[in-house]
Amino acid sequence: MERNRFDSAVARHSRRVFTFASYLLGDPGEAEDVTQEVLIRLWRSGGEVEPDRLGAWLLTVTRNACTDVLRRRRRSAEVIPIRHETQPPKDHPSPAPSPERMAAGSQLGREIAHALSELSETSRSVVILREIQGLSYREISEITKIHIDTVRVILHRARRRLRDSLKEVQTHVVNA
Amino acid sequence: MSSTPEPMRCDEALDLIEPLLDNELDPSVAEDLRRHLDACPSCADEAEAGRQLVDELRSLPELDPPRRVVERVRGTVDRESAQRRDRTGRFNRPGRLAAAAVLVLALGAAAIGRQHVARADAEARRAAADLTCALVRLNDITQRANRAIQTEVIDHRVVPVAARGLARPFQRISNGISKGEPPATSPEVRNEGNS
Repeated sequence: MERNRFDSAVARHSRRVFTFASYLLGDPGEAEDVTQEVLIRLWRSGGEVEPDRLGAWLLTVTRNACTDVLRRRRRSAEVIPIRHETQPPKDHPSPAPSPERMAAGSQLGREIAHALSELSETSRSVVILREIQGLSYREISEITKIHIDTVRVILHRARRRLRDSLKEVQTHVVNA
Repeated sequence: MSSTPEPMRCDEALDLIEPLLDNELDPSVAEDLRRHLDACPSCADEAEAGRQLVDELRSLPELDPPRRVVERVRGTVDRESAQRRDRTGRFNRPGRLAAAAVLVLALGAAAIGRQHVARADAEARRAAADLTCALVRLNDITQRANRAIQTEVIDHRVVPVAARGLARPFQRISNGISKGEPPATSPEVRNEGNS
């Protein structure tokens, strides 16, 4: 890939890649690593990706990289207990704000970002791609390799689950 | 008599709320659902919660990667570009021409070698065929010789001669005994005597 083409692809798509990774992983440090990995992979692809498929290609690669991170996280969680409220790692001296912090403008937004993290990876991917990134069912189907009708079903079920878990949170807040 | 359609149940309505929010329902089904929502406050609350959730999801911000991410990517790309240039620079035009010449020579040598091998192979095959022929002929000759020896030994020469050799003393004895006519000889002996 020519350097100019690569630079313009980074300018155009890096936001999309980072947004997807951030909401999918819920961890800005890991999202940074994934974004870097995906963009370098684009450079190393040597211009093999067709320009009109570039957006979908990047999000597919992002999703695969995030799946690897989540798998590693699950594996290490089996060995090391997760410690909350820890200092950020030294590699990430000032991490980007997390999706929850970005959504903290409203109480509901923060609760939604938290409820998202409790969905399965597939449901989360579909909700993020559709509702936050505004992609069509066809584009989501291409990225996730899931049939377009199934994408629709997954989205509706995920939104209903989000509604249910938000209702639980709100009931809990009222009772407390 | 016209039949009025059955009113929509709550479980049916709840299944249709999400498609309604995405404008995916047939107009007639959407109309039935709206009628149900007008009459059912519980389902109407669900539909309102769904609409609020979708609005909230769609208002979640897209996130810009920190500048350092892009800088790190550019750093890696710069380094790899320099390495690539370095590699191609080291292998400049005269170098490429020399490599091409060596390649052509190597390919030519390989082609000639292949021809030699093919020729030697053909000669080896011919020699093997000749050897086979010779062996067949030798076998033939051996068999014929065997037959000739057999014929010679059994039919014509050796046995009659031996017999003649044996017969002579007997003849002499017989002649000596009888001193009359010579004893009768076998046909073989007669033939031998005629030949």
